[in-house]
Amino acid sequence: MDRDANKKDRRRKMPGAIKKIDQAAEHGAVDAGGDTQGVELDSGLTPVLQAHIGRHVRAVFDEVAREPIPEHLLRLLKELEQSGDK
Amino acid sequence: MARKVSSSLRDALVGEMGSLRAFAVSLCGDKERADDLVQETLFKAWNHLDSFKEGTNLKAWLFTILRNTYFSERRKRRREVEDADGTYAARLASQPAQHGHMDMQDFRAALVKLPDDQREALVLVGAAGFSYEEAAEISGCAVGTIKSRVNRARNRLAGMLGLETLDDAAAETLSKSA
Repeated sequence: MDRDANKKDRRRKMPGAIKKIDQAAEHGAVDAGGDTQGVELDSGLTPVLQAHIGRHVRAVFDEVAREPIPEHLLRLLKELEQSGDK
Repeated sequence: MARKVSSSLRDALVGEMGSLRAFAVSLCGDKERADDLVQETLFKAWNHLDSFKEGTNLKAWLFTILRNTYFSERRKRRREVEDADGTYAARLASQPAQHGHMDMQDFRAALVKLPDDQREALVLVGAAGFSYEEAAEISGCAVGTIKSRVNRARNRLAGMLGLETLDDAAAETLSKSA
């Protein structure tokens, strides 16, 4: 009897446990600190690491930003400008 | 509607085109689509120039139009065809890294995997040069939300790239080689 009750108990606990694992997976390495409350307001990364990430974000962005503006966009601007008095 | 545009405003518009394109690419992950977005943004901006107060933040205004255009179009498209995020991720990840740095390619791939709102916040604040307040205005949310998104984005990137365990010296070395 006791074992049966135990089994049932375990079964009842399973879905919750799985949910918890899913949630943990969703948060992934993000909340590695274990504190899910308020952790977002302090990234917990060292300033050097933050700067490292920042440099990369800027590099990806600047790579496109520094490309010459495509001809057709410049042409469009000119056209808009010429029709500006309508 | 459209009014005679001062040459200084036109020059300012041209001046923001580069970062506007970069922002568009960071949102949609595709240069062709990004250029379409920029084009649409220019149209809209031009037709609503009377609602723009000259001397105020033109860049923020343009970024707002572009991101609103992107997200409303995406919502529409999502309803028509289920465009899984994976499609976008695969598209960007397959773009060759021009730097040739493995490090940079990894980073780009990780950036693509971020949730849209986190990537947007990180790019606005971390690359496009907006303050948290400006980014909040552009994204139409609270300043605290932007801060939290930026931090979550950084954490997630650090996690994906295995950076959390790096000490400062190692991070510094990495940065120099990047």
